[in-house]
Formats: sequence, structure tokens, C-alpha cells
Amino acid sequence: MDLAKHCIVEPGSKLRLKDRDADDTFGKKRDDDGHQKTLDRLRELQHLLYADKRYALLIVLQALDAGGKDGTIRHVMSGVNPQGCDVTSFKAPSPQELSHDYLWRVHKAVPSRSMIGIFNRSHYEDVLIARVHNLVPKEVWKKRYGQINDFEQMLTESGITILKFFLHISRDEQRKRFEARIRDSSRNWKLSLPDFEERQHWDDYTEAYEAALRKCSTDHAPWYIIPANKKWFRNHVVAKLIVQALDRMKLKYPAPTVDISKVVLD
Amino acid sequence: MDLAKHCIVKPDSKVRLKDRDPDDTFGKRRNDKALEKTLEKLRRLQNLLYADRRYALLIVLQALDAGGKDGTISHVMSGVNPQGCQVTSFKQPNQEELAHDFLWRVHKATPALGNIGIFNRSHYEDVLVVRVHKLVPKDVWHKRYQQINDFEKMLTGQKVTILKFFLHISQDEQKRRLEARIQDPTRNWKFSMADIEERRHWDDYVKAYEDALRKCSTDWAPWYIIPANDKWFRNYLVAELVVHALDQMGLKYPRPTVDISKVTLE
Repeated sequence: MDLAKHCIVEPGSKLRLKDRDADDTFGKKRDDDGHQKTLDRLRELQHLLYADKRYALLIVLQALDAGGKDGTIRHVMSGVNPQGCDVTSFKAPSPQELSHDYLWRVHKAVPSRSMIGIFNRSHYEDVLIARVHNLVPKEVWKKRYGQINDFEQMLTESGITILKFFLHISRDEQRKRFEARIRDSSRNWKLSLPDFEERQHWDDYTEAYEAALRKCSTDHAPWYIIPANKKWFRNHVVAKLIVQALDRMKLKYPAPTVDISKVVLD
Repeated sequence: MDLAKHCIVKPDSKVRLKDRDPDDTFGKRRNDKALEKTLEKLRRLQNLLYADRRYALLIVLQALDAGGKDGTISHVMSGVNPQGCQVTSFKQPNQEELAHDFLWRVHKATPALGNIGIFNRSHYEDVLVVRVHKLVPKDVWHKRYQQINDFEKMLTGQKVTILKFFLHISQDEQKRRLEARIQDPTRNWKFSMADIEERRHWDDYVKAYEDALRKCSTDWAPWYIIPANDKWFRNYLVAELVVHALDQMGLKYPRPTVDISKVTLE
């Protein structure tokens, strides 16, 4: 099955999140063995990406609170070698970051060739939370969609493949997850009041996400909407799409830089 | 068995590398299940370290070429969540780095609380390669042992636990590994003439390492000499020492910051 086709946001298309079922599994049944094989393949390909040194992969993860960003990183990426994988979590910007343009801190964190870079939140917050909470005037955030597209195009033209995943959960699922977190003493330290306050802005966020997904799904860096109510399916789709992207790079081991037939070790 | 005791360099003791057998396995036999168990424990503890946020762990890996630095990272750390683990490889310093003191680039890469930082090579190169190849005058590198001790003491005072591992292989084993690399098309791209060049300086490196291990094994940041001819044992020993260090921190999940009894979700 072509998973990518099911989740991609076609550039220039009209998008309504309510038309995307967060419970969907595209008719797939849970298959842990198959998933493990995908993860093993991912590990192999990462090793090759690291050796090859011609390309980089940037994975952008966006979701509402409790959407599963941390869980996706833990489940999908824990098998890879940390020496070739950097995770950057973008929190509220520091005073120094705010004194630069909003892409400054993001650009610094872009992976170098041979690396996988993962953004846990990203420059998209600058058209999401910034828009919902009026942190900057409309004429400022409105220009950002085009700026983001230009920035991402420059990156892809420099050998970086960009995968943007929106982890899509329903409002009910979010409530269930918050409730589970509250009861779990190994996780309730993560809760903060803003989590609950943000929930009041569900509809505003939906609108802001729809605009971001629509305006910034491009041929060079498309958005994928991942049905994420079911965690196993979310992990499966994300892992598969990463493997597909790495496969398309046609990675290979570089030729040795020395004439190894002439090497003598004493 | 107290593995740490077998491989620690006691502060102020005399170290002769020839008295340490790189083939030693402290009477242990290869046991993949035991290693897997230790790695699972490591994953659990890393998750707790990340939640707790009171401590950090810095792992310094040093070895001669083909000593197994990359392999140790790949085998021991591939199970951990990359969000919470950063690997920094210190290559030849660039111009900007050379324009600063030698600890500047190192300090920037130290792990934040909650994180594991791994140094693939480190500030110790500034008393190793720098000394062997006379990259700076003796009166400069000579002062660095004390500077390193002071720097590391400051870090441990800030709740960073430091583990320094010297992966100890024999000259014969290095030869076997370099030969295997040359023959393996998935690895011979890693091979450079410098590897052969450096091999000629084996004795100088041994002397430089002995000094570094002796002068910089301190109560707050001791050196461990890991017998590393046997890769399984090397991985097992490093994993055990990492787990032991995390165990000693008395990690726990923080208390929730909100009064969860008062939370209502609609």
C-alpha cells in the first residue's frame, strides 16, 4: 500500500482536518514483527547515510499537546545510532533568540550531511502558537508561510530531504491521554497548566494548523498527516515514510580515499 | 564482582599500560543476554535521568585508532532515546576553535541536566595528539593536565557525573582491525593514510596516554582502562559502568507541578 499517498497533503489542495480520521489505520492490522523489520531497515539505512555523507534528513514533528511527539521519537528513533542523529526541541524562544529573526535558531539546528535531524516542534510554531496567541501582528505571521517555503526550498536544494509529520489526534483522545498522564506518577511531572489552557484553544489551533499544512505543503517539502490516535499505527507510518525517504536517496558506501592495494601495515 | 575496581586508575597511582592486559575479561564469558539486560536497564535509567533533571552524565571515550570508540557508541548507546543523548565527535579544531582556549569548544558540548553527553575524543586530545606531534610547546600542554582537572571538578560540582573510558587494545589487535577494515567495502572508506602514519607513533602515544591517565584520574572524575580487544567484553563493561553511575544518582520522577486533584478536563 502506498502509505505516503494516504497521508500527504497535496500541494495547493484544500484541506480540512475533520476530513482526516485520527483513528484511521488504512485497513492495516497491527504487526509488531513487520514493524521491527522496518526499524531494523531504518538502522541499516542510517548507517549508510552516515557513511555516504552526501545527504541529510530533517524530520519535523508537530502535534497538539499529547499528540505523541516524544513517544514517536522514543519508539521510532531509539534503535538508531545517536552518533548520527540529533534531536532539537524548540521551546519558548530565549531573549537572545527573540532578538534574531525566527528562522535563526532553526537554521543553526539543521542537520549536516550524513545526519538525521529531528525537530520536536519547529519553525511552524511561529505560525501556530504565535498566531493563536497573537504573539506577533497578523502582517508579520502572514509573511512567514512564504518565508518558510523559501527556506525549506533552499535546504532541499542543498541535499537535505525534509519530512514534515503532523501527528493528528482527536480531541477525545487528547482528553484520554491527559487523564492517563494525571494518574501515572512516572508521567504526571510532565503536566503543566498551559497544557490544559491550550486545550481551550482547540478550534483556533485546528484553523492555524490547516493554514500551515495547506500553505506549506510543497513539492520539495510536503506535509504528511499521520493518523495518531493509535500509537502503533503512528509509529508504523512514520517509520515507513522515513525508510522510503532514505531508500530514495540511493545511498552507497564511498570509495576508499587511499589506494588500499598499496597499504602495508607493519 | 566489582568491575569498577578492576579497571579504575587510582588517583596518584602509577599506570603502566603494559601491566593492563587488553585481552582480559575479568573471568567473564561472552553472554549476549547479560549484555541485553544491562542495556535495558540503561534505557530505563536514561528515561529517569531525563525526567529527573537534577543530574547529567558525561561519557568521555578515548582510544587509539581502531580502538572501538564508534563501535562502543553504536552498541552501547543505540538503545537509548536520542532525545536526551548527544554525541559530539571532536575532530581537528577549526580556525574559530583554535582562536579560543582549548576547553572552549568542549565546554559548549557538555550535557545539560537530564542528558547524557558522549565525547568521541575530547579535550584529552590536547595532551595526546598535540603532545605527540608537538602542535604546541611543552610549557603549554604541560599546564593542561591541571587545567583539565580544575575544569572537570567544576563540572562535577554542577551535578555532571563524568565517566572517562580509555579503550585499551594491543598493537596486534590494531593491526588485525585495520586489515579487516581495508578488506571490507562497507568500512574501507573510513581508512586514511593518517591511520598508518599514527601507528608509527604507538610508543609515543602510550607514553602520552600514561601521563594523561595518571595525572587526570581524580576522585571526582576517575579514568577507567577498559580491556578492549574483546568487543563483547568492552561493550559489557562500559554498559555496566554507565548503569552503575546512573544507579548511584538516586534518580526519581519529579512531583507534578500542578495540583492534579484540581484538574478538570472537559
